[in-house]
Amino acid sequence: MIEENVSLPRIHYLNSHYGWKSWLFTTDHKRIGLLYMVSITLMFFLGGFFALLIRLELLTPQADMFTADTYNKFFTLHGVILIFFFLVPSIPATLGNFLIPLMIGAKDVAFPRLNLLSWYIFVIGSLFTLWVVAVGGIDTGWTFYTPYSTTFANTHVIAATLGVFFTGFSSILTGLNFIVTIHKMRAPGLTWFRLPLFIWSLYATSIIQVLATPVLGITMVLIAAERFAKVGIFDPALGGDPVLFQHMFWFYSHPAVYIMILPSLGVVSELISAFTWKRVFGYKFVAVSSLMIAIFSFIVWGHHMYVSSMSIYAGMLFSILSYLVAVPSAVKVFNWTATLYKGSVSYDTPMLYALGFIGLFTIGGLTGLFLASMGLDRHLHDTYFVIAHFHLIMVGGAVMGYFGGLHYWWPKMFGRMYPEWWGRLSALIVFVGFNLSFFPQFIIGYLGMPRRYHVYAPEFQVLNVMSTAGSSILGVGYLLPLVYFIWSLRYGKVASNPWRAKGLEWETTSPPPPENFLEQPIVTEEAYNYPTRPAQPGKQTGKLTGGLNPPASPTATATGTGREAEVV
Amino acid sequence: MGQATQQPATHHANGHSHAHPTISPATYLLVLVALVIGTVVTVWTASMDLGAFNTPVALAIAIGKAALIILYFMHIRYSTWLTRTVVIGSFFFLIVLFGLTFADYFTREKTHEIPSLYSPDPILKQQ
Ligand code: HEM
Ligand SMILES: [Cu+2]
Repeated sequence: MIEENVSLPRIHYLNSHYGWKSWLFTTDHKRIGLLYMVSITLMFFLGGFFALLIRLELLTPQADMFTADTYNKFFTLHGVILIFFFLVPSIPATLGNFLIPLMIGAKDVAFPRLNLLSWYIFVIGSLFTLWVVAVGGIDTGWTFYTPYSTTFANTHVIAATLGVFFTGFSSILTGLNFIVTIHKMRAPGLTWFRLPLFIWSLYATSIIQVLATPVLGITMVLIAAERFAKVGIFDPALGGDPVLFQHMFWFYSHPAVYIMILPSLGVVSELISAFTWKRVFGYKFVAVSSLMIAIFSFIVWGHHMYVSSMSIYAGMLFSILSYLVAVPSAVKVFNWTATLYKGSVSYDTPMLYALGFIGLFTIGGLTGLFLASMGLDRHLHDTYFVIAHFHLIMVGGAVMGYFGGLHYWWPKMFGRMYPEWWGRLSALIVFVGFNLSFFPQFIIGYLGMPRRYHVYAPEFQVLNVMSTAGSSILGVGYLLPLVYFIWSLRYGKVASNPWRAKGLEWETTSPPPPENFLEQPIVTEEAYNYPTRPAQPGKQTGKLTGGLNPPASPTATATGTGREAEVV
Repeated sequence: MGQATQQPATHHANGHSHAHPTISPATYLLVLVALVIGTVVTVWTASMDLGAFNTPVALAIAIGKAALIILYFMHIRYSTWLTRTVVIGSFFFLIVLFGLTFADYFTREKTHEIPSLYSPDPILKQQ
C-alpha cells in the first residue's frame, strides 16, 4: 500500500521530551498545533452535539423535546461554539501552526512564546463559554443582536461575549505571528511567488484576523458595557443605535467567514496539486485571488442588513460590492478545474474531500449571490435558505477542507497512515450525509420556513425529516475519523511521504525533528514543480487512474520522484 | 544522518542592525501637552452645538490625536516602510468601516424618496 522500508525517525518532536509539562510549556509550533487540535476537536463534538439536539427537535412540527427557551439556548450555543471556537481557529491554528514553518523551511514561527500564549488565551475563552454552557446558556443567537442582547436577554450574555472577546485575542495574535513568520523566516530562495498556495491563503487570512477581529472585540465589550453600566451605544432609549451594532458585528463577521473558508481554499489547492501531480493552473492568479478575497471581504458586510432598516442607498452599494467577491472565488474554482483537466487524478481520501469541497463551495458561493440581491433577500432573509447557504460554505467548505488537510498531513504529523479504506468511506458518508442534511433546507427556506423556531408548519415536515436523517449520517461520517485517527497513532502503517508529494514539509522526516530540518533547506524551484510525464503514445491522457498512488520505486527519495516509475 | 548538524552561528546576519533613534523627553512632553489640549478641545466642542459639523469636528480632533500617538508614542515616524504600510493599511480599513457605516447613517431618512422614484406603490408613497 504505502512506501516500502520506511521506519520512524529515532528522535522526533513527539518523543524528544516527555511528560505533561513538556506539552503545556512547549514553544514548539508543532506541539502547539496539536494542543489546538485537541481543544478544537472537543469543541467540535460539543457544538455538534447541540446540532443533533436541534435536528432532533425539528423532526416533528410540534415542540416535543424542548421549550422555546431551551431551543434558543441550544442553537445559540451551537453557533457560538462552532463558529468562534472551532471554525475560526480550525485550519489556521492547527494545520497552520503545524505547517507554516515546515512549508517555508523555518525552525519555528517568529514568536514561539506568543504562540503558546495564544493557545492559553484560546483555552481561557473556551472555559468562559463552557462555563456558560454549564450554568444555563445564552439565547441571543451567535450574532448577539441588540437591543435583545443588551436589554432583554435574561441569560449569560456578558460571560459569553467575554469568551468571544478572549478568543478574539488569540486569533489576532496568531494572525500577527503568521504574518511576521511568512515575511521574515522564509528559507533562502523561497520567493513570494514560490510559496505554496496554502501559505498564501494563510497570509491573506492573517490579514483579516489582524484587521477585523479588534472590531469584534470592541463590539463585545460595548455590549457588556451597555448591559452592565447602561452606557448608551446601541440602545435608542439611551441615545444609541441598534443598527450600529449590526454594522460593527458584520464588519468582523463577514470577513470572519473568510477566516474560515480561505485556509480551506489553500488546503484544497495543495490537495489538487498533489493528487493530480501537477502545478496548479494559473498559480499566480490563485495566489493573488486569496488577497483579493481578503480585501473585498471588508466591504460587503451590509448584505446581512438589508432588512435591518439600513438605508436603501447603502443597501444598493453593498449589493453591488458583494458581487465582486464572486470574481476571485471563481478564479480559484476554474483554475482547480483546469488543473484537474488531463491530470492523472488519484482518488485517495484527501482528494475525495477536496473534490467534495469544490462542489459544495460552488453551490454555497452561488447561493450567496442570490442572497446578495436585495430584492430576493427580502424573501429569503432569516429563512432556512440562509442556513443552507452558510452551512454549505462553512461546513461543506471549511470543514471538508480541514478534514482533507488532516488526512493529507496526518502521516507528516505522526509518521503513520490512517486506514485508507475507512478514510474513503468516511469521506463518502460525510458527502452524502451533508447533502441530505442541507439540500432540503434550501427548499424549506425558499418555501418560507423561518430559521430559529422550534415549531413549524406541518407541510415542512417531510423535508425536515430528510434533513435530520442526513445530519445523523453526517454525524457518523465525522465520528469515524476520530476513531481511526486515534487507532492509527498506534497501529497505522509507518509512512513518510505516502503521496510522493512535493513541498518543503515533505523534505524532512515524518514526524519532523524538534527543529524541523536538520539542515537549512534552500529552495531552487517554484512550488509544485512535479516532474513532467513523458507523452504516452496510444494511451488516452486524462484517464482517471483511480485507487491509491502507485507504490514507490525503491529509489524514491523524500523529494519525491517516485511516480516516474509508473510512467516510464 | 543520526546527529543534528549544528548550524553555524554566523547564519546570515540580518542586514541592518536597527539603531533606534532616541526621541528626546522634550518631544514626548510636547506630544503629551498637545494630546491634553486635544482632549480639552474635544470636551469643549462636545458641549457646543455645531449642527452638521458636530461629527466631522469630533472626528478631526480624534484623528489628530491618534496620529500623534501613532507617530511618536508608537515610533511609526521612525519605522521602516513595511511597518508604515501596515499602519496606513489599517487606517484605510478603519476608514472603510466608518465610511460605509456613514453611507448608511446619513441616507437613512432619505429612504422614503425611493418609492416615488422607482415605483408607484401607493402604500410606500404615502409615508
Ligand atoms: C465564501 C465564503 C462564504 C461564507 C463562509 C459565507 C457565510 C455566511 C454566513 C455565516 C451567513 C449567515 C450569517 C447569519 O445570519 O447567521 C451568510 C449569509 C449571507 N451570505 Fe454568505 N458566505 C460566503 C459567501 C458569500 C458570497 C460570495 C456572498 C455574495 C456574493 C454571500 C452573501 C450572503 C448574504 C447576502 C447573506 C445574508 C443572507 C440573509 O441573512 O438574508 N455569501 N453567509
Ligand atoms: Cu456576508
